[in-house]
Amino acid sequence: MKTLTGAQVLVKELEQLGVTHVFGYPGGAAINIFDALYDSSIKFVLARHEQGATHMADGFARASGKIGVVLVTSGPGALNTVTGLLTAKMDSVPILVISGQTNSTNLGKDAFQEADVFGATLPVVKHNELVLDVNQIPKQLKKVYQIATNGRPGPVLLDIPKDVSGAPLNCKIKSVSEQPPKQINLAADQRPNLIKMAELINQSERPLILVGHGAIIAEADPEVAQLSDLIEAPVTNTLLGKGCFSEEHPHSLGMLGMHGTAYANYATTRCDMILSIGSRFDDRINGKNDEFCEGAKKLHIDIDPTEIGKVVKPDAFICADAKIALKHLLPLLKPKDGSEWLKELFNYRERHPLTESKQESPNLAAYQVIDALYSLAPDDTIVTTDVGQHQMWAAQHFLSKTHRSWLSSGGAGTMGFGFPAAIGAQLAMPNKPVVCIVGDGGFQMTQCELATAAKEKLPVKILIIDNKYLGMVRQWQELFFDNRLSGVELDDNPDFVTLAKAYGMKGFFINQSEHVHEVLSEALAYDGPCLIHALVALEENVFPMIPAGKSAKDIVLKQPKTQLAKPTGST
Amino acid sequence: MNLPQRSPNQDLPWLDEAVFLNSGGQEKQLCVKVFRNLGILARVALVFSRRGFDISKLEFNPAHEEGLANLELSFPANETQMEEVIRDLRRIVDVISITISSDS
Ligand SMILES: Cc1cc2nc3c(=O)[nH]c(=O)nc-3n(C[C@H](O)[C@H](O)[C@H](O)COP(=O)(O)OP(=O)(O)OC[C@H]3O[C@@H](n4cnc5c(N)ncnc54)[C@H](O)[C@@H]3O)c2cc1C
Ligand SMILES: Cc1ncc(C[n+]2csc(CCOP(=O)(O)OP(=O)(O)O)c2C)c(N)n1
Ligand SMILES: [Mg+2]
Repeated sequence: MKTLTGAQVLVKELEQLGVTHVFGYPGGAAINIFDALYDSSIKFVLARHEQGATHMADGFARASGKIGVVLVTSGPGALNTVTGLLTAKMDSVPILVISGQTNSTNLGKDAFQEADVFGATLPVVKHNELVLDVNQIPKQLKKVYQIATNGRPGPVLLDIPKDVSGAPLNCKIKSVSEQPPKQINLAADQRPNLIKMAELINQSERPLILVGHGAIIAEADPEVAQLSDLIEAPVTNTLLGKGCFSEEHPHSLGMLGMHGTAYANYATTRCDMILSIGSRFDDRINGKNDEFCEGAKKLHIDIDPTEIGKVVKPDAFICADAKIALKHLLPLLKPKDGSEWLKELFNYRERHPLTESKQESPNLAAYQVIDALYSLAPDDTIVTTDVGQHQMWAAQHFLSKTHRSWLSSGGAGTMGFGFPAAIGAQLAMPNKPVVCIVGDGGFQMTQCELATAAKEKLPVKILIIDNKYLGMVRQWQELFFDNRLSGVELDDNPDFVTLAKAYGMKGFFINQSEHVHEVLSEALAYDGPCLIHALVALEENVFPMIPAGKSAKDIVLKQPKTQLAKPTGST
Repeated sequence: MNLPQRSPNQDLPWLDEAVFLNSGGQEKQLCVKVFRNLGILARVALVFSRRGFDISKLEFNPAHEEGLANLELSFPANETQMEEVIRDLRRIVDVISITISSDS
C-alpha cells in the first residue's frame, strides 16, 4: 500500500472511472488536484472561463453519453460554473464539477476566495457533496458519479477543501471500477402498466409518437424506428429529441411546439393517441395543458417517476428506461395500417411547408445558409447551437439523422452554450465533423474560447448567423410590443473574420446567396478550426410560432398583418 | 465576550415586518425520512422557498436507524401544491420516504 494525497487518489479514481478529459481552470484551492493531474494520463483542457469549461464538459457528455468532468478553484472559479450546472440540470446531462475549497478550518470565516459553493449550487445540481475527511474521497466520488450517470442523468458537484485534497490517504486503488450492471428487465410493478399501454396503442386509429431527449439517453432509436414501422405512426420530436428518429424518414413530422412545424402541431390536434417517449411535456410543446392533444389518450414513458403526471395526466404510463420499456412493449402490439392518417398529414404538409412564411427578399436569409450547410455537411456531422432565432432555424432546417448529433441548450436556453459545447463534442468525437451554429449575440458571451479551440487545434466550424440583433427578443418586441425595440441592437459587433485571425484562425464571410455554397464548401473542407461570418437579413422572424401560453390551434404560420396580443405564457 | 446586540434593521424599522408568505390551503403535514447527510435541511427548505411556500412548523429528530432522521413538516397548501412539494422532495437523493400524516 502506498501513501498518496487525497488529490492523487481522486485523480486515480477518475482514471478508473474511465475519465479521459477534464475541462477547467486552475487556482490555489485546487492546486493539489492540478499537481496530481501532472502525473496522469487524463488530458486537461484549459478553457478561458469556467462557464466555457462547464459547457465543454456538457458538450462532451451529450456527444458521447459519458460523464463530462470539470475542475475549478474555489470562490469565483466555482461560482462561474453555476450557469453550466443549470444548463446540464435542465437537460438531464451528466457532468461532474470538482471544485477546490478553502481549508476546512477556514470554512465560514470569509476566507480568501471562500464561497459557500455547496449552498450556492444546491438548486442547480442533481446532487452535491462537501468532502470533510480525506478518507471519504473515494466513496464520495463514486457516490456522485453513480448519481450523475444513473436513472435520469444530471450534474453533480464535489467540493474539496485544500487541506483535504492535500492530506495523506492510505488507499488501495481497485483496478476495475465496480459499475452496477445495466438493468435490462422491466420492474415487476410496471407489468400491468405495460399491458394497459399496449391495449391503448392497439385501439388507436390515429397514433402519434413524440420522442424526447430521454429516448436518446436510453439509446432507444432502433426500438422507436421499429415501433413507428409496426404501427405506421407518424413521429414528432422535441428540440432535444432531434436525431433519435431520422427527420428524413417519411414518417417524421420534425419538431413539435412553439417553433415546430405546422404539420407536427396539426397532428396533435387530430391524433387520438399520443405516446411520449422520454419527453417531459415542456411548456414549449404544451403551451396550454387543457387543450394539448384534446380528446386523445395520453401515454407516457419516462425513467423519472416524478415526471409522470407532472404536466400531463397520462391514461397509461411506464416508469422505466425507454429502451427497456419499448423492448417489452413491442411484442404486445399489433401491426396497423396508417396510410390514411399519414396521407392526411402529408396533405397538410403540402399546404403548409416550412417555407410558407418565407418572403422573396434581396437579402440573404438565415435559413438559406442553414439549408445549404445541411445539404453540404457529411451525414455524421454533429451540430451544436446557441440560443435564439438561429437555433430555431437550425432546428427546423438542419434535419437530424442520428442520435447525439444535435446538441442544444433547451430547458435553460443558455446563450453562450453553443461554441464551447462544440469544443467538448469535438474532443469526445475526434473523427466526426462538428459545426456550431451561433448567433452574433450568444457567440460573444463565450467567444474567449476561440483560444481553446485554436490551442487544441480542434477543427470545429463556427457559423455565426449575424443579424445585428438579439433577434429572438427583437421578434417578441416587434410582434407583441408594438416594435418598441429596447436593448436588442447589436450594431457595434466586431469584425468576426478579423477576430478569428487574431486567434490564428481562418475566417470566411458571406452576405450573398450566390456565394453561400462555395464558401461553406471551402469552410467545411478546411483542415482546422474556422469561423464563417454570415451577415443575414436583419429583421427576419421565426415562424411557425405558437404564442407562449396558447395551444396548437392558435399557431401563427407567417408574418401577421396586425399586432398580436401579449402572450400569457412566461418567456 | 459582551458584544452589542444590534439588529441590522435597527435604523430601518419598516424593514422589520416579515413579508407574508401565502401558499393558501389548509395545514398539511408530512413526515420525511432522510439520510442525515450534510445539507439535508437546506435541500428540504429549498423545495418550499423556490415556490414561495411557507413552512409553519418543522421538527428534525434522529430516527431509530443509525444515520437516518425524521423530518416533520407542517405547511399550508392545497392539494396541487402538496403534490408538487412531494414530487420535489422525492427528487432529493437523500430522501428515503415520505408519508402524509393522517391528521392532515
Ligand atoms: C428559444 C427556445 C425555443 C424553444 N422552442 C421549442 C420548441 O418549439 N419545441 C420543443 O420541443 N422545444 C423547444 N425548446 C426546448 C424546450 O424548452 C425543452 O428544453 C425541450 O422541449 C425539452 O425536451 P425533452 O423533454 O425531450 O428533453 P429533457 O428536458 O431533457 O427531458 C428528458 C426527459 O426524459 C427522461 N429520461 C431521461 N433518461 C431517460 C431514459 N433513459 N428513459 C426514459 N426517459 C428518460 C427525463 O426524466 C425527462 O423527463 C425551446 C428552447 C429554447 C431555448
Ligand atoms: C444568458 C442568456 N441571457 C439572455 C437570454 C435571453 N435571450 C434569449 S434569445 C436572445 C437573443 C439571442 O441573440 P443572438 O445570439 O444574436 O441570436 P438570434 O436570436 O439573433 O439568432 C436572448 C437575449 C438567454 N437566453 N440567455
Ligand atoms: Mg442575432
